[in-house]
Amino acid sequence: MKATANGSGWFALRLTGHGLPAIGTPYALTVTYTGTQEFTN
Amino acid sequence: MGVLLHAHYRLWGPHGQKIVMPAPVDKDTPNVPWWWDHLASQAADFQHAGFSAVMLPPVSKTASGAAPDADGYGLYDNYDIGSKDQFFSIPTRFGDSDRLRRMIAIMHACGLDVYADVVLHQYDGGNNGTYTYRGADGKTLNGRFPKHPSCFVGSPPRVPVDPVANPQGNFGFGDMTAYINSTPKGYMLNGAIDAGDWLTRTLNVDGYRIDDTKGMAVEAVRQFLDSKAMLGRFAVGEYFDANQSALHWWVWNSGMGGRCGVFDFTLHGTIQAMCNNSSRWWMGGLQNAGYIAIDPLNAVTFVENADTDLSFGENVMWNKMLGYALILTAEGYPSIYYKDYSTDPGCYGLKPLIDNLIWIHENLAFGATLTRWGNDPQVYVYERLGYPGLLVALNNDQGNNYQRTVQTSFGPNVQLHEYTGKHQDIWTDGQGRATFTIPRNVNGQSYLCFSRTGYGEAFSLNQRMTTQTFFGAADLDIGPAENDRAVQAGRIWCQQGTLIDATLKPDTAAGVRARESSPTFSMAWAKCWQAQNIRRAQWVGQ
Repeated sequence: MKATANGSGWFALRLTGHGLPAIGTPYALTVTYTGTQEFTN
Repeated sequence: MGVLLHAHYRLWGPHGQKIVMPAPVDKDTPNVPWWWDHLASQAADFQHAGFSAVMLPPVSKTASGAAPDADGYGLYDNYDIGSKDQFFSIPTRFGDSDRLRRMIAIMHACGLDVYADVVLHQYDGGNNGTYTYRGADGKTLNGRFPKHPSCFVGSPPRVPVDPVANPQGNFGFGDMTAYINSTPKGYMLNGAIDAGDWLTRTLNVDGYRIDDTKGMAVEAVRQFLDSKAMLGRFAVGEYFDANQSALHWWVWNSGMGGRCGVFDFTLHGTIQAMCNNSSRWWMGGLQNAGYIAIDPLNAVTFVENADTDLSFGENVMWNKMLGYALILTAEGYPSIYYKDYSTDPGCYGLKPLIDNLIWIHENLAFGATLTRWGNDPQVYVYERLGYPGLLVALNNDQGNNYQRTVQTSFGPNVQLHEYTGKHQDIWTDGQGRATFTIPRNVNGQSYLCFSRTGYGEAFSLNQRMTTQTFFGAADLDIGPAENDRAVQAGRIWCQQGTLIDATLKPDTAAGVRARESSPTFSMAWAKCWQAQNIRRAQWVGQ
């Protein structure tokens, strides 16, 4: 999945499973992105 | 080769205790930023100054939680990077996991590598050698990589000490690990490798400092560094030994095979003697000094670090700039101690002087070293022979300037500029010799750096992307995917207008596979304060 950041700052990554085992499914979500060069909290 | 910033330091507290960098959890400093944020806010400045990498303190939770003495070396839980409520704190002394990932992404965006400090030698905070950790629900003690007494050195049920690199130099701190002798066989080493792989991938670190390698089995360190995500990444070991031959043995003949460099404690000892004794130390002793003299590509040079700084007998008390002038013009990979560099309160504030030397290191200091004046009690002169060439002169005499004439490789009648601003331009004579006057030693600022004229380019930012993996599982700090319920995998800190590329996979390495023939995940990302802008995609996996 690809997208373009529509603003600078935090982006939350959320997942919803369907048809998974009831105990929950381990996963690995790998995200490649570019951080800001300046820091503002 | 670059210049490394060792971003870790200690201060003396009001009651004589050691404090690890100020933190907002301390009652006296509620307004200071978390360390990860403080580093992130300086990332662009570090890159503009010419640094190429930043070495972090250990990032995992220690038995001290976020307390003033939580320096990172009392490792408790490999999988808690400021992400589990353990030892009375979710954040470590340096901040929480979101701040840590963000800081690394900002460093990368500024073109800087980030090195993790890996503690393998000891754990602290267990119950008689038993370590259980909280899992993703924050309550169940099902956390990954639990430990038991036979993981550690001692009387049964503990195990005998490993065949460590230097038994006489192996000192106990907390529960000393046994990677070779632990039972069941391979449990500790495989667990450490898996934890290192997880750490590397979830943070996207580019290299490692390996703590206390004297007290580690060489075989364990080598296997760790040659496994999984650690394979091929930069590594430097803390082999605390001033003996040049001992460092060489560990790097090449112990079984490490050159896989890991070392901090140049030999040169540190020489620098300490040179700086602390001023005029009384014979400068000819710099000739062939340090591990750099025999293996510069595996030597990380330093003037001070967080251990030596507050240890009388190990620290450099005066004339530090003479030491920095040496390591930033000599061969080897120089490491700058944050407290020496920074202008933060309580730090030594040498930034303006060190910045000049970093620029010289990155623009002028290349190639082999040739001593040009080496048999003198007060003056040492050497030349870096790679183009454009660099002629360096050091004087440790607090009372006198010295004029010297030395042969150079610049050639006849070449104009040379002095790049620290302490001397006017000079010309080599018809035989390529240079004559100059080295100022007397005032706080170590008695060094000259000559090279050809015309250099002055500033450093630019080279933006890099970051790739971080969020692992979700019941025994980690992030829970597994659940049916028909959105769970937050994590957060990332993005620059507007840049690409985000995400790949989602079931983590079969965790030992759980989806039972359904075609389970699906819905994945969404949302800018935290603009939830209406959620973009959706679906991934179907087996």
